[in-house]
Amino acid sequence: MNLLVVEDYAPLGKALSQGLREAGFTVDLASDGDRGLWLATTGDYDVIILDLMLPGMAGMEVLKAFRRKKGKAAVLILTARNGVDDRVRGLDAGADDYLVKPFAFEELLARVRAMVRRRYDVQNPVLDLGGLALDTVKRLVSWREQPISLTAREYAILHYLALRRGQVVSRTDLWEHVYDLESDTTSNVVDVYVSRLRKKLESVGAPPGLIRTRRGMGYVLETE
Amino acid sequence: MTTIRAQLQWRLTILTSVLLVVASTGIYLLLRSAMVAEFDSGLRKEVQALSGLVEFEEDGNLIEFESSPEILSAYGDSPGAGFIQIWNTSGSTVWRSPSLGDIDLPRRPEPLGILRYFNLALPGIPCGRAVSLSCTPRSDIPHPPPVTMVLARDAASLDHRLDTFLAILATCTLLEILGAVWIGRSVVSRRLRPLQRVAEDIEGISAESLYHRLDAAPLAGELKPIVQKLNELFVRLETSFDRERRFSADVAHELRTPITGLRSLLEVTLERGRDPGEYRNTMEDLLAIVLDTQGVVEKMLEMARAERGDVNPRPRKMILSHVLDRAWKPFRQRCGGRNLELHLEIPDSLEIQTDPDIFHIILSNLLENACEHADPGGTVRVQAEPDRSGIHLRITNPASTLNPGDVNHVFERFWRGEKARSETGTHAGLGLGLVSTLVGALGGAITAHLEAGRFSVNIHLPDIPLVEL
Repeated sequence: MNLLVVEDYAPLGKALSQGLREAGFTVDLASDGDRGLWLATTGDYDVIILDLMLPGMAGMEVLKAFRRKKGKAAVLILTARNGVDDRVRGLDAGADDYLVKPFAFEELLARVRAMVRRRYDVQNPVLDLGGLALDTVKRLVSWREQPISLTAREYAILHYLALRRGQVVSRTDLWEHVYDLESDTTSNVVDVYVSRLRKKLESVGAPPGLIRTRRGMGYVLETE
Repeated sequence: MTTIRAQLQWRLTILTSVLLVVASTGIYLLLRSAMVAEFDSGLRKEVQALSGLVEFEEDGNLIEFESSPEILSAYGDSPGAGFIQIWNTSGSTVWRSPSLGDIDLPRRPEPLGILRYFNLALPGIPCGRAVSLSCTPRSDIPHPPPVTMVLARDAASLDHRLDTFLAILATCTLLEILGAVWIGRSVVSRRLRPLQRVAEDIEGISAESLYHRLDAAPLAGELKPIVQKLNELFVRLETSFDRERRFSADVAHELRTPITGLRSLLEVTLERGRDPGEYRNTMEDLLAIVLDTQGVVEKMLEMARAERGDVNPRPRKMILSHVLDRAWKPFRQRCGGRNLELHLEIPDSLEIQTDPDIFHIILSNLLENACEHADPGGTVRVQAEPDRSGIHLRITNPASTLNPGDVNHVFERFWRGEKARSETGTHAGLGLGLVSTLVGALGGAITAHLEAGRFSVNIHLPDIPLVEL
């Protein structure tokens, strides 16, 4: 899942980016409002974590501008202010959730996971795709209860395909959701990971056609 | 608890009661005196008329009373009859009315023509009223021997009327006292109601409702200054409480971000095992956050100390340029990194006589503010000139991101300009607020201006007289 963190306090931005990456998310970091808005409107993010007190364009202005430009990503506001008015103003401006500093990182992760599920219209944190099961909290994958060991990147690709099961997902789309802006790879590397993924799935008895290639279009996860 | 209302009510009740009792007693005595006088007047007329019936007969040297049948009937045995007894000068009874039977009236000889009234008991009548008169009987000879006549009548009807009047008066007095108590309570309560309302208002005021003001309009003139002073006190309390609340909120707000940074860094780092290099990086990040936070806390403490007057200036004579050099040193590298230049326009020998430590904090914060927030590549200009009482100091720097309206807020605690928001956790917006407080503590004045894109802080610091330690 592709996240954008807009936080001006460098140590916090760094900690959030690191923690979210280690939790399996792809993270881009912006340290001011203007860059945050530019990234939010040009990238394809699932969740934007937005601090309200930002240099340049303030967080609230970024949020309003993002929604005006039809931005669809879920937005989680981070702020040191915890007044009711502040929360109401933030939510009314188009935010999906609100987290007051200081917070537990686990809570931030749980909220981000919940927002991702809502974005893809999934309620259960354990994705049940016929024989294939993805526990998005523990980040465990199994085929008919046989665990499959995946790398972070392989899991990220399978997770995204699972969220969009039955739909054709382009390489670029997949790449954008599993690599951040700092990565110097190209979308071709996605083919390598999909190939590895197929082998691992087939090794535990999954059908070869679980992840199909649509030539010139991308991949689709077929479910029963 | 004794209240003013209870005291007033009790005192009014007692005073009113005493006045009413005294007035009623006076009325009773006056009326009694008038009624007795009227009764006595009847006795007087009667005894004077009867005295005309006493005759001295020279022949027999006898005194006689011409008792007609009407007289005998009026002073006979019938109920309501009067009593008469007449004595000669030797005290022998000359005549007595049949109504007396065997009883004698008391003889009270008086000088001729003098009437004397007195109370007495009569046969079968406990309360009688009598008059004694010494008079000269009718006679053909000059200077006949005088006689003493006592006339008595039943005064029960007079006593009865007086008793009735006394009972009515006592009842009226009691009712008046009760009425006066009720009216007194009512009037006192009504007059004290505004005061009671003020007391209730004051009782209802808490730390959360210090905005409430007491209404002095319905109060008596004597109480208005008290209520006005109380309202002024509430204003000061409200301001003080607001400042404390704002300060607490600002502190909480300002410390939340670095605390979140600390917590997130620690939680993320502890999430899994790391190599020593990663731990070292985390430690360095944590140290940086702690140092930033420490700076914020120290400035807050300095400001709090200055605001509560816990500043004791120890003045010393110093060369201003030397002090400035020392204050500039820590910022030279940082300003150099932003291509900022320091330009001093200070006479070499200009001296200032003030507290060196406090002045150093003032200069450091001013220079830090200029260094951090001036437009990159600009010039920070420091000018100073003496006047009769001290020095004028002016520090200017280019500040294109500052708006004219911002100037009104630069001395507010925790206020930060647009650009300064990029340094969350590093600059809490306390520097100029602290400078303002410390300048005040040194007896000086401070203003800020924005002209042609240059931000300036102007300070006047008076020389503080040197004190022998």
